[in-house]
Amino acid sequence: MTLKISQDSNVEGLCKLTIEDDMTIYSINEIKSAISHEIELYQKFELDLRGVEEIDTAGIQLILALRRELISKSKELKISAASGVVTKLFKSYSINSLFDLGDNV
Amino acid sequence: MQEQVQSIEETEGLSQTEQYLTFQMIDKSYGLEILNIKEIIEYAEVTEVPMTPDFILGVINLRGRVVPVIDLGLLFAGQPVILTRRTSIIILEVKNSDLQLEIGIAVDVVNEVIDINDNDIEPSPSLGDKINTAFISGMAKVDKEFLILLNVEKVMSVDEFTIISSIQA
Amino acid sequence: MTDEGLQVFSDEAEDLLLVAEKALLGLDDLSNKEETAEGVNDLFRTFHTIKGAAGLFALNSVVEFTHVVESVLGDIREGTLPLDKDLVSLFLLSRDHLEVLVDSALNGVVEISGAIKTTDDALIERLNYYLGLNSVLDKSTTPTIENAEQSDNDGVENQNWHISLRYGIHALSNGMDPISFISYLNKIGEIKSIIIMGDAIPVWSEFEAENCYLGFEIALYAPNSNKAEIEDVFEFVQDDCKIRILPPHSYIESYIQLIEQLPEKDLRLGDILLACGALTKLEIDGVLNIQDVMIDDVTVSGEDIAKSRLGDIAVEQKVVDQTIIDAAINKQTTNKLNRNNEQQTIRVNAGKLENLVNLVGELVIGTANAEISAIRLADPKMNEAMENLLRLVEEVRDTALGLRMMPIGETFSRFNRVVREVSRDLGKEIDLCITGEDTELDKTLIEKIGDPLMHLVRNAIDHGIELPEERIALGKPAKGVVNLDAFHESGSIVIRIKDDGRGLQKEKLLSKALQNGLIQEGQQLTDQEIYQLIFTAGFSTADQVSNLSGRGVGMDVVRTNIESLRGTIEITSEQGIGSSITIRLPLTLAIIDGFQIRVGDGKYIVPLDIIEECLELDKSLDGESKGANYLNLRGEILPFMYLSDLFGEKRNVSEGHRDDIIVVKCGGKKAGFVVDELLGEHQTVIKPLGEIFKNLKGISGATILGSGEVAMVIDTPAMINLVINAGNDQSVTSKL
Repeated sequence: MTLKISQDSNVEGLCKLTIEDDMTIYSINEIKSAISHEIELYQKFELDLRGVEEIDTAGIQLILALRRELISKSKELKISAASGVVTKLFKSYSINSLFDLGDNV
Repeated sequence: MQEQVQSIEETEGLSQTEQYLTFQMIDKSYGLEILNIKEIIEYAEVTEVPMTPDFILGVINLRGRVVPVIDLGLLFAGQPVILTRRTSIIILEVKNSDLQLEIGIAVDVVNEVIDINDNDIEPSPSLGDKINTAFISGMAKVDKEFLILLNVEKVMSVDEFTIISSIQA
Repeated sequence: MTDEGLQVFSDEAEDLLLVAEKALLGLDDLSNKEETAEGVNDLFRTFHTIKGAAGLFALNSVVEFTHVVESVLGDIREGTLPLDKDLVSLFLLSRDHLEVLVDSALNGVVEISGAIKTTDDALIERLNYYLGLNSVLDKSTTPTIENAEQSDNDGVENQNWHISLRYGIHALSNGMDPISFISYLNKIGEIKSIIIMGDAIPVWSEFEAENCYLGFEIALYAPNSNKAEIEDVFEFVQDDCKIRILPPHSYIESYIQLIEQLPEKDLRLGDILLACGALTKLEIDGVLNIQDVMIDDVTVSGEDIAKSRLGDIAVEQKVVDQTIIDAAINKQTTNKLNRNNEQQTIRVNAGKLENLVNLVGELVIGTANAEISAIRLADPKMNEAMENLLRLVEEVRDTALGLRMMPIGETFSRFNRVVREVSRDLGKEIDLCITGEDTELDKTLIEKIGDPLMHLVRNAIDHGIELPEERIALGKPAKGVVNLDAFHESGSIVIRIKDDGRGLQKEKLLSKALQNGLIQEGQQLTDQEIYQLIFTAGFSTADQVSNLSGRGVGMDVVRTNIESLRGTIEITSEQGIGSSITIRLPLTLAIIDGFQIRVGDGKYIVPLDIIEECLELDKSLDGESKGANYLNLRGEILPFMYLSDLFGEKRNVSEGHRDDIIVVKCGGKKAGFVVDELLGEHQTVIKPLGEIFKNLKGISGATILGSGEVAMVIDTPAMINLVINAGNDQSVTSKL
């Protein structure tokens, strides 16, 4: 798992979270604690899941938890890109509509 | 050679051994496959049922069930079973279509249980004497003596009995 | 597909088909709008339920046919198709055909063929004709969600399984990823919708990413699966996951229960169920309304929010008229009431019941035994305990026997249809008037009496009731009446079929009997004997064979059937006024109050309630009638007989012995039995004597006395006949 956190220079208060490789139960705690730190600092978040090669329900749950948390704090979450496996799982759970994830694989 | 042919006919090449209960009735030995025998009891008070043919001795109280008892002697050889201390009632359980039926048969003496190989059973010959051959499944030679094997299903087949009782009644 | 499940389906289908028949027969007055609408609703619901149940077992022939029927009923229900007599007849035919389909499907027939197929095609074509008046419906369409009809009643409309999952907190860390189960579900069926329930996810600071907080609401289309198969999917997670599975078309109450069980807020769950298609808007409103009634603590604001949200989600739904919602809710309430009633009955294996009754019989005998010993002991404490026990055993006995008793009503109401059909075929107008439908009799008797009764009813309509013109000419009302009545009388069940038709024509019967050689010229017969001629084999007086005559059963078979139940048939008739056939069946019930007598060495039981009186056989009674079989009982002629003669016992002629005579009355006939001794009342458990004695007349069974002795139970009606016949032995032809 690699997690890259970067601040978008163009958009004020936008945090880009790029997760790669795996987003499964084995790495999920790591990801959670890494993100936790940033949640307070930014207003908008963008998830780039293009490089995710493996994702499971724990990964989905993390994204749902993050979304809830951000919504409750009136912050924004967007998924800018997703890999095939991510899209597939989102579809299986029919939650693609929550994140404007199109049918594009 | 003849024996071989017969065994093929009757058991499709495999000879089997079945257990038979032997008993005595008016000087003759009979055998009954034990599969249908539920128990053997001492001859007890039989309550007569009026307006029935003689071979129906009546009914007994078998632990709360009313079980008819028939006299095989009368039915087969026209001679009633002679009541002695050794007279017994063999309780048979027969499946007739869906019904589980119990019938007791009174016999003179119950002897023993023996094994009889199918090969030793010959089809019932026409017994010249007074024995009713309709209920006989075959003859077995045991210890140089002939044993009359009774066909339980047929002996106890209720239809035959009701026919008999309606004829005689 | 388990056999047990199929058995349940078979039972249910049988019940439902009966309900359908009842509903159809209830549709006799189509001008009564309210009743008709109700009947159509009942029908629709019934067919719908059969379809649903058949679907569960993939009985496609049943599903396909029922679907078409249901569609037509749907149109009628919506008012786009008017209901007429032809349609009712068509539905009756369809119902019958459905019965055949269910039967053949249960027998493993996958593809119908031959005559069944022909009927199937013909009926579907006729049904489709009605559908064609309104919409073009593809004949081959099998029901899918899209064209499934609205059903707000019995089951909900939803034909998907609804699966509700709430994973345990350790599911993920235990390696139970929900997605694998969901993929597996997709193998046994098609997931129509899935909603992930994240309500339990805590705020981020408390969120443990390795824990599982998720739940799922899933609509699964799996018409060929049963519950066990779906449960099996979750076999390994049972400890880690709360699983609730609702079959397609579940009762709305099941959903209410589901909503109550789930941890999320009820109103939100309503949305969820709606969104995943488990329930329709109408159903949800019904649920929430029921919920409102049930849950008092729903705050006003909460309701408001809920209603607006429901509104949002239900945008694409049709606007529903408030009155329909009200009606739906009312319907649900009444249905719920009905169902509560249904729950008060349970199906019990007949064998088990029989076993119980037998055991209770043993118990009664056992207690009688104990009582004898107790009396001998003469211990007051023991006697007191015994008395208590006896009372309890008596209650147990009565209750156990009651279990086998069923009202005859269902058998009777089946004749409504017969009367309706037969009278229509014959162009007669007939009212069937049923009384005594609550009369209870043993289930076995009910089963066996159906066919003979049916024949007698047909006969009354066919031969008894005249054509309307004929009736009017005779000054009778155009509409004939057939009465069916049942009641208990002196230990027997009496069933009477009465008509106000032309009555039996004695001359016609006599000439026919002469012609057939049944009687001789100049033979004197009583009215009863003449009437009984109709029960002789090969006897038919119908000048013209109507299409009813081809039904296979003759009146002689009726008599045989009744007699095999140890019953009797009696006919009274008055020419031009009508006839009445009375069937008397013994209570072949296991236990009766009996009166014990002795004849010779044997002890016998006579049912107590048919004994009129017991007298000493006085010389003054017997005196002048030496050899005769009649005696003078206070001016009344009483046929009598020494039972010892009949039973082949010796008469007791010893000095000082006085014979007793018991006078019995049954079915209007009286006779005296001379016995050796009267022994008093006796609780009698009747044991069947077995097949071997089935041709024995005069004895209906045996019982075991407290002493362990066996006593015969006298079959009084048969015995009375024996006595009477012995009296006029030569004067009557024995053929009757």
